[in-house]
Parts: sequence; C-alpha cells; structure tokens
Amino acid sequence: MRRTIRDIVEGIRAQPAGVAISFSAIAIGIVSLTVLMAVVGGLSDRADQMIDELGVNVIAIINQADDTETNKIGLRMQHASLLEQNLPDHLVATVRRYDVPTLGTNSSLSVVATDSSFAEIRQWRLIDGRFLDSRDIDSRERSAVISHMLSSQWGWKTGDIIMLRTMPFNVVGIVETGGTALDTEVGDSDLILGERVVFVPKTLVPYWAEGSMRIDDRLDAIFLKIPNSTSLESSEKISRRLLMEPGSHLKDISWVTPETLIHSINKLGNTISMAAGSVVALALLLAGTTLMSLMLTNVRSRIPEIGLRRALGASRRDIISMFLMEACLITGIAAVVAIGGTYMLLVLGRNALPVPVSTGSGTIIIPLVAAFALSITFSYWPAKNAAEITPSEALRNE
Amino acid sequence: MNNSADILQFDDVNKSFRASHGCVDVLHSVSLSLAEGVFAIVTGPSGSGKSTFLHLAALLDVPTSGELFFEEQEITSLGSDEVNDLRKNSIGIVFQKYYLLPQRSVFENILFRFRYLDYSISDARTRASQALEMMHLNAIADRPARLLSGGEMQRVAIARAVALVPKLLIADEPTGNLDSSSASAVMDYLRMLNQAGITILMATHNESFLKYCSQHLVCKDGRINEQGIS
Repeated sequence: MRRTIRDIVEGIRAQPAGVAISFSAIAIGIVSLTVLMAVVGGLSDRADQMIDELGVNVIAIINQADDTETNKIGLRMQHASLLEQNLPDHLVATVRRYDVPTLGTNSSLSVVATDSSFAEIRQWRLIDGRFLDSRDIDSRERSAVISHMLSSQWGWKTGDIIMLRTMPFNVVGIVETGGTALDTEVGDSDLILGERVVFVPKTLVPYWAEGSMRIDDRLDAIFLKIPNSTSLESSEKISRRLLMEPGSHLKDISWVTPETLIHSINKLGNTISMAAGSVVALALLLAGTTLMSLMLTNVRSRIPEIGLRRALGASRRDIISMFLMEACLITGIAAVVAIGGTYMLLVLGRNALPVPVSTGSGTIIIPLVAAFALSITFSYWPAKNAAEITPSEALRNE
Repeated sequence: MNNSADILQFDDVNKSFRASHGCVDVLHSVSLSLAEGVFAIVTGPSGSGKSTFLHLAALLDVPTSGELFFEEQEITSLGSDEVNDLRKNSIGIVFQKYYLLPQRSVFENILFRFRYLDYSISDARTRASQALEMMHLNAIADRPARLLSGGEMQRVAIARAVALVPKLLIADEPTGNLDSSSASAVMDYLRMLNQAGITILMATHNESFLKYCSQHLVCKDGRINEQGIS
C-alpha cells in the first residue's frame, strides 16, 4: 500500500502545473455541484417544512380579491358558513388579519381574528395557557393568545394585560406558530402571519383597526381541516363547487393544498435544476476533460517508466490502477477541499442567502460520488491507453 | 525441439511490426539456443534487429511466428500473466538508457526491482542491500539517481537487475553511453555475475568485449547466426 501511495504521489509531483490546473477545474465543478445540491436539498426541505406548517390534511382558501373592484366579491363569513353547513365533519377556521402599529416603535404586529379551531388546524404547539375557546368566541371575550416569538421578544406572558391600540386584552396563552417557511413561500398572500402575532376572537369588534368599529365580515382566508376518512381531493372539489358556483361572483380565490405547495416548490426546484444544473454539468465536463488531458500528458511523458514497470513485472491491471488511483487522488483531494469549503460557507452564511439551502448528508455525499465517477470516467481511457502499451513498445519509444 | 539444458531456445522465430507503410519484417527465421550459464554477446549494425531479439529473449514481446522456449515452456502458448510472472521472477534486464527513477535514491531504485514481486519489505531490503554492496554502491546509496554519472547509473541498473538473482540477465548495449573505463568496469561486473552462474545475453556494438563471451551471435539484416569464438 505504501509503495502504491508513493508511486501515485510521485506521479502527481511530476507535473505540478498540470495537476494544479486539473485540481482547480475539478474544485470549481464540485463547488458548483455542492451548491446546487444544497439549494435543491434546501427547496425539498422547505417543501416538507411548508407541508408541516400547513398541515397534511389542510386546505387553505385564500382571498386575493380587491373588494373595491366592481363585480368582485372576496371571501366573506357567509362562505365559511356555507362550508361548515355542507362539510359538517370538517374543521373550519376563518382568518382576518390586521397590521397594528406598536406604540413607541416602527414595527407592527399582526392581530389575527380567528376561530378556536385555528391552532388545531395548523397543528401549532401550545407553550403556555390555552388557545381561544368557544366561550371567547361566543361571549366576545377580550382574550388574546400571543405567538412565542412575541412573548420572547417583548416579555409578554400568560395573565398579562396587553393593549391593542387603546383596548386592553387578557393574554390567555402562548402558542408556537412554527417556522416561516409557508409565509415566505406564499409571497404576499394573507397566509403570511409573521412571527409577532396576537390571536383574538373573530367575533370581536376590531377596535384595533383604524376607522372600523363594527365587525367586518370580509375574510383573508378560510382553513379547512379534512377528516382522515375523506380524501383531500374530494374536499377540495366540494369546496370549489360550493364557493365557485355560477352567480357567486367570488373571484380571485386560490386553494393552497400540500399538493399545490409541492407543485410550486418543485417548479422552482426544476427551474433552478435546469438553469444551474446545465452550468454545473458544463463545469464538471470541463473539469473532466482537463483531468483527461492531464492524464494523457502524464501517460505520454511516462512511457519509459511504464516500460520499466512492465519489464519488472507490472501487469496491465497494475498500470491501469496506478493511473486511475492517481486521478482519483487528485479528484478526491480537490473534491474534499471544495466540498469542505463550500459546506463551511453554506453553514455560516445560510441565513444570508436568498434561497433555502440544505446542509444535509446529500450535500456532501452526492458531490463526493460525482467526483469519484468523474475521475474514473475521464481517466479510464488514458489509463487503458497506458496499459495497452507493450513493454517492448514502451522501451523502444525513446 | 527443446534441449533441457537450454535456458532459451528460438525455433524458426519471425518478428514483424505493423507500420504506416505496411508490415516491417525485423527478424527472419531465427533458430538458436542459449545454454544455462553462457555469456552470449550479440553484435551487429544498428537496425539489424538486435534490440528486437533481446526484447523477445527478455519476454517483453512475443514472436509473430515460430516457437520461443524459456526453460522448456513455450512462450506463445502462455497467457500474458504467466509470461509476466516468468519475466519478473527469472529475468533481469539492463537497459542502455538505464531507466532509473530520477527522484528516487540509488537504494530505492534497486529496491524497485521488488515493486511487483511478493517479497516482504525486510527481505526485499536485504536483497537490495546485497546488490548495492556487490556493485560497490554503498557510498552513494542515498544519492538521488538524477545526480549520478553515466557509469554509476549503469551500475545501479545492473544492481537492480540482479537484486533478485535472475536465471537470465539481458543487457541491451549496457556500455553504449559510457566512457571506456566505465564500460570496462561494467563488463567486469557482468563477467563476475556470469561466473556466479547467471546466464547473460548482451547486445553491443563494441567487438572488443567479445573476449568476455562464451557464445557470439551475429545479427545482420534480421538474421542471427552463431559465430565461433576466436
């Protein structure tokens, strides 16, 4: 083994310039592949996270209508009632979101008027206290449930009295609202709640909304939790039929399901894979041809040495494996350096990147396997050429 | 027919090479034998086929037609791995161009003889040390081969060839690049090895070395004939 390593190292040291060029080309190719794998993995993770956040059997019906336009009606309480009546075994929660400026700061928080079932539908974890209950809804209690982030940042806790504009609310619980994957992915839709959220009963007059002192029945979204006995597709179909029947004037409504989330993320993933993938493929091809060129030059300049080795008993297999291992060592070191460096940068800078990135094992293993395949593919032909030179031919070469 | 006392026997051997302008016949109907323990010298002009003959004898190549026996084994009937085994275990080769590994030391070059043999490291080192001593190379054992003189390089090449005592030592123009005193020294070493029982087959242009040989082969226009020793 030691002798083999020495042979390989000497072969590499014989051509420092060529090895440096190949090393760089391979490293660039592997860096680009590692980044691509990280992004594709990140998008896949994001899809899983979004489904977790939405809920596996959940449909979100989102209002995207501008109610000021003629003949266009957005989601209303009546639509939620229609769904409740026709889908009695489903959990239905309405959402109306208001941005409320925070006193003394430039930031604002989201006040979400909703049902008692909303936390259950979104599968959020209760940190403390309770979520809104039917009594809060029916009696229009000024109860509030705050997000964990809000509690952490502002120090609010269960039992505190908080002020939303000028009205006091009693904090009855703290809820972990999950990540923000869903929020960032659905763009500017009303699925975005942010991280600083206060949940209040949907039946309350929106005291906090400027110029509005009566209950406004417009909704931003309706969430449906489908029972296990029913398929998501059939519930989606029924809800579409109910809400979009002729004459409803309901416009610009979108249905967000796990499928649509996966579809949108896959579409983004495919676009990135196609665009970046072709660049990566070209980079790897360039790396491979550089390696092949190095190995061909290497073989040509070492013909007498090949002859000597064959004369001393090296078989064709020995010669092939010597050149293959040499290529594997160059590629392997380049790959380890490239993957290691890229991985470190991804871990350190993942929050600053505009796309989600994964630092899972696939980000390391796939580029490593690709580097190995690249070294074998592009060095096999030069290695085979070297092995096919007969000892007599090699020694006569000079 | 093979004689059991012969280490090498050519029986109507022909060798030709493919070239761009067609087939080039290099050796024609070579029939000869080398008995164990001889010191055979092949002489002849450049391009007469000496090197091709030596390559066949060293089992580095195979005849185009005819039979070639090495210790009673017909070479063309063997697989390449078997020929390889025969060559690495039984034949030592000394080249005109030495073919040393320039970045390695003298000792490491001699040790390289065992690179493809199943010898333990310690056994290989012992044998390499003996060869080093026999060729009086101890003083320069650690010197990189690229820093050696031509004579020293050839001594290292011989030491490498005999580190594993071969049954047949092939030397292709071993003195071709040496001055006369270095050449004489190399010839003395070869004679010493022959006296130790190693069969030697050597090619040279220098007919003054015929005094060392017990068998003289003359190569001319691809034909090899035995010449009497005067």
